[in-house]
Amino acid sequence: MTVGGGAVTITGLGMITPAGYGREATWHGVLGGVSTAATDQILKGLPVDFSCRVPPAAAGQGRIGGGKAWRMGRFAQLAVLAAREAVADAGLDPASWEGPRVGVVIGSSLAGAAHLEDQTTRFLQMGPDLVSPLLIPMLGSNMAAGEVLLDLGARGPSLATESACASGASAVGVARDLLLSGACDIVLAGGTDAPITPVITSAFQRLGTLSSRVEDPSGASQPFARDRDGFVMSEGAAVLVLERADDALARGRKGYARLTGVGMTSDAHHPTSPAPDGAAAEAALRTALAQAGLTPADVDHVNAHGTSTPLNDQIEAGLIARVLPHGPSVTSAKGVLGHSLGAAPAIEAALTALSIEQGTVPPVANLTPETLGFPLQCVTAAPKRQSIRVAVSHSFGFGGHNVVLVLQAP
Amino acid sequence: VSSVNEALLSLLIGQFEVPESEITPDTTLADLGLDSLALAGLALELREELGVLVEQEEANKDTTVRELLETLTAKTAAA
Repeated sequence: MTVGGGAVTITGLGMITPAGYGREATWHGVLGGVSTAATDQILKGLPVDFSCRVPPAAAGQGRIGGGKAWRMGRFAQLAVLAAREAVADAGLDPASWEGPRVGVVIGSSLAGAAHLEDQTTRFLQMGPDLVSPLLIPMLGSNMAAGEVLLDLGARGPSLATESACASGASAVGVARDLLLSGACDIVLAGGTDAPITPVITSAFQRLGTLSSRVEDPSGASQPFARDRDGFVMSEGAAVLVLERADDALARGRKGYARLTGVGMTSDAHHPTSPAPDGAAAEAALRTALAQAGLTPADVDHVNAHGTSTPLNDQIEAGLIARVLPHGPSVTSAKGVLGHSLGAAPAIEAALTALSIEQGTVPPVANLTPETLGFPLQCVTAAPKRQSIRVAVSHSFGFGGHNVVLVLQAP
Repeated sequence: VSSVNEALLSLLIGQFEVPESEITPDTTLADLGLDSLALAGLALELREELGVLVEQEEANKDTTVRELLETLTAKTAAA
């Protein structure tokens, strides 16, 4: 099986992010280049008390319906909403599709940990009788896929991918393989996370990964800036509809982009620190390009992992400068959206597909040519018009998981 | 009695999104669309709202709204 002989197409996108409900709201928010970070009441009194949150739902937004929202973890709710949007965007009808041929692969880094935190508090304060039996379905990382497949009647292969902050990209990679192996005909692939809680935020803060700019939350996430000091906690979900390219064409869908290469490697270096030489991350990039039958010189655009942590951005910038010295445009959505852990790679894959379709690269928030700390062609201040034939999306996770996706114009 | 009635209605309509028009004294919880997970959730919410422990057999799929209200009324009176 070669990818060249069987590319898959991204035919639908759904997103819920701090920039808003839906693909359009997210795209426009990211194009605006203004951070969504703000002081967060739930984090009041903590050393880091700000985050990027999905805004409160307006009328008609964010509704699960059918009396089912109460039983779903927040990460699962976000995934269900994103999946519905993606399926509608792809022009698919769950009432009439062949359910057994539809797969669901959705990753999450911390899944329902927020609910475990709530229920642990109840257990300690009120005892075992007041622990919710719903904790179990709200906790497990599989339940984003579980609720999506139930909501849409998808009866093919389903699973969660777990690779921390690469989870959503791993899901896209696994989805591609399910399609090319013939296991199913349509896959809803994505990532979701809702990790903004006092305990989890405290742990990330103590790990030294969060920006501590409490006096200026909206200026805190500064991917690739010289003075960056960490990432900003975020939440969200994205789901992509993937189909084999010939199937999509057969029903008249050109799609946003084709996924032509997936590189997956592992650092085997440290539980939470990326390997300083970036060698495994580089191998992921090179593998993905080779799979697509491309060379590094073919890359027009990089949607970077770009977390705004000192170490990630340094190693990633080194990787881009080393492998792609011709200077493709670079962006990171985390300046606007913060870091939504396992959701981020799916959101960024969706944004990369939109960049290809729209011929537009969003700017990095909180970055200027003067503050840029690396010799990269980062887009700043305003969106850049660019015809993109080949783009790569980088995702790197705690655990040493590296995933690079190659997307090409359809 | 009215507070028990209100608490149950508010849970069924609010949390479980049951249309108010479907709720009659003789409707069973299954008829209202409550499955096993929903029944477990309902029992927990009633315990929090009213401070009464509802046993599994007192709020199962075949229990009617009238029966559940009688149980809740008796338990809150005894509490």
